[in-house]
Amino acid sequence: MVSQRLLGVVCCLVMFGLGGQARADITIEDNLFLVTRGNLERVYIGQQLTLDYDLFYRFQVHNVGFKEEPTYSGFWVEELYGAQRLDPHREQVDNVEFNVDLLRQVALFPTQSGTHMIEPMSLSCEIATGSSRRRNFGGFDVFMGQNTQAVIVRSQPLEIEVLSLPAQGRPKNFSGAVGRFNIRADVQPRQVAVGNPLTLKVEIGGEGHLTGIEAPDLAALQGFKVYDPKVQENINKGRGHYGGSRRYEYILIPEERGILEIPSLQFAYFNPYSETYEIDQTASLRIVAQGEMAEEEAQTFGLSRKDIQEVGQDIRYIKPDIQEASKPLVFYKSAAFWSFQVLLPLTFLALLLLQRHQQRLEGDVAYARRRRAKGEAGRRLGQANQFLAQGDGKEFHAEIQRCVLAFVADQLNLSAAGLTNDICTRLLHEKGIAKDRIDELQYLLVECDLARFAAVRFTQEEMEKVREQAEKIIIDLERVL
Amino acid sequence: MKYKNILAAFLLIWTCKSATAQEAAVGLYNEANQLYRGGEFAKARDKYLQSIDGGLVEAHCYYNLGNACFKVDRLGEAILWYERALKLAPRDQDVQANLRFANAVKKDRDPALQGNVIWRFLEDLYYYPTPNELSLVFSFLLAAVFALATWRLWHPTPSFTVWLSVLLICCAATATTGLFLGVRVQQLDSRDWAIVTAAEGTARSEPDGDKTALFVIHEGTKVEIERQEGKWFLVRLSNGFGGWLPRQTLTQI
Repeated sequence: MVSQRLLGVVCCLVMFGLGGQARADITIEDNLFLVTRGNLERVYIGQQLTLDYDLFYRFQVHNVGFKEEPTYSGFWVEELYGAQRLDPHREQVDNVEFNVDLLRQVALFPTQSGTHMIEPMSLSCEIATGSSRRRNFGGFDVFMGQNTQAVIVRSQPLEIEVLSLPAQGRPKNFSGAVGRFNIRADVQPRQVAVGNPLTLKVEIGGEGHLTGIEAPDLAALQGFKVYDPKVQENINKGRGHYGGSRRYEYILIPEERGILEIPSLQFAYFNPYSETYEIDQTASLRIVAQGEMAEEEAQTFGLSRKDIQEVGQDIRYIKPDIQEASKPLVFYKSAAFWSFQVLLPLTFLALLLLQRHQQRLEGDVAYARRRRAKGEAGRRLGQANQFLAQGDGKEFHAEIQRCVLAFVADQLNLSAAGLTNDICTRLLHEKGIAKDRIDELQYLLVECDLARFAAVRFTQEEMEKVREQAEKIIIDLERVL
Repeated sequence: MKYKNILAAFLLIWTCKSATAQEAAVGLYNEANQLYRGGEFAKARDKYLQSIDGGLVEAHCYYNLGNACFKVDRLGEAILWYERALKLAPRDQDVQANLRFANAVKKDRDPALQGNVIWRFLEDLYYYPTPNELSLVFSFLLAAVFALATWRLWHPTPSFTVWLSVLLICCAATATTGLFLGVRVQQLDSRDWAIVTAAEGTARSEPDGDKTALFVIHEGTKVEIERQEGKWFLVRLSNGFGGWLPRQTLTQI
């Protein structure tokens, strides 16, 4: 076991006269010195050695600053503490009480075996020089004057013996980690579809330098496609200790369905306190993969763990061959576009007229009857045709008469029920219809009356003539009414 | 009947002739691609030009010709053909990228590129919709205006204010889109822009080679043509500089 000890007390002083010479009765080297204290004198490669740089003083000191620092060749160096201001505590050296300030604390991790020399550290400071107002308070000399003296204080070199790591008992998977470490692993989610990613987080941490920690090897993992991990380092340091953790985040893609196992992961390290190799390991993890492998998904799933760097620029490549020339459609110049623009207002105009027409039909009975008169007459003539085909002369003439009178009633917006032959002719006369047309109508109506009420028989040809006559009268009246 | 037959025969011959010319142009384009792949850029450029002379109007062809020109150090021509390709395919990523790249390596810095981010964003937004898309949107909006007006004819009861608001919004959108479309089409059809295809050109205060030199412009710079007089163009740069350049210095886009 390497024991702790006080490694050296050094006083190497160079004085500069700033405010005059130091008083002859004051021995500066006995009252101001820099001490390097290490926690160990023999260490293994990779083991932490902590060095403290303590300033012992019995003067008032000001403007303390490092002047020369050791190169620490053969060591990784991590600073654990650097004093921002003097904050002394008291210690006794040979029954003399001193103010002691820890100025700097560094953790050294040897990288090569053998004997290593740590060069001295030197610092500069100013001390108050003598005056008539020197006082003694509680065994401390205090100078009340304004004069100061610059002093350089240097520590003694320090010899460290570095031991190689023992070859005996070295595990195969030992990667050089020295300290006390543990390993933890977790995978999320535990249930996933085949081809979908899951995240395996492995964290190795503890006391000691993290350079010896390497990513666990998952190459042999069965049933998964493994992508390179994303590494996150977390350093944890404070007075006297140095450590931290490294977190490896793997993306795994299950390639088989079923229960898949991530076996126990091991981490081997050398424990310098027990001077043996130790192995920490995780529990095995199980996940459930469901469904079938979606090939495309697995291929196209973006798993780049680093930003892609552009290393050069050039124009993009040419477009491929074509089979035939395309006919570029310029829509705004096409007939379809302009036809559409013209058709829209025209359609609107047509719909507007239709709506007005519908409104008038609903609100103006006379107009509605006039508009329907011809259609109604056509329907009645059709009915008369049926009677004609059946040879029913009476019904035929009755229908023709009803047809003509109803047409006139619709055109004049009158009730067809009270419209007799005489009233009909009178009204038409009042409307200014030509006499020959009125006569023609009257003749037709009389003929119909005769056929209905007198025992006159009409031949087929005569009835067809009557129908033609009725059609002609209706067309003529529609034109003039 | 006789005349109809003659006309039909004429149309058939004309169509066949046109189709054959197109096929030949496509063949030349594909040959040019082969030459380009083989690294014979100068020959590829000639073939692309022949295919364009043969009547091929394709953004792909213009773009590839731009590439061939770029490879044979005809930067001005390359930019010209990229610009022409961009007119046909305004959202083609390859065309945009190569045009950007070519502009980045030309001698004169484009004053337009120095504009602020908001202005450039608005400019990108302005050029984003194609005239075809704008005309479709315009047609749709116009149809919506008439549909709303027609609907009101048969549904007079619901709130007039709401209906009128929607109608006015549609009208405003239609008018804006129509205006936008008109400006874009006018820009597209105009040949008011040109690229400096000569290595260098000196803009002068008057259309005369002996007049005061105002500024020197280099290959690849885009200029706006304000007017033409004889063999001289009055051009304006995007930073406001204006001057007369010899016609052979420029090629209209």
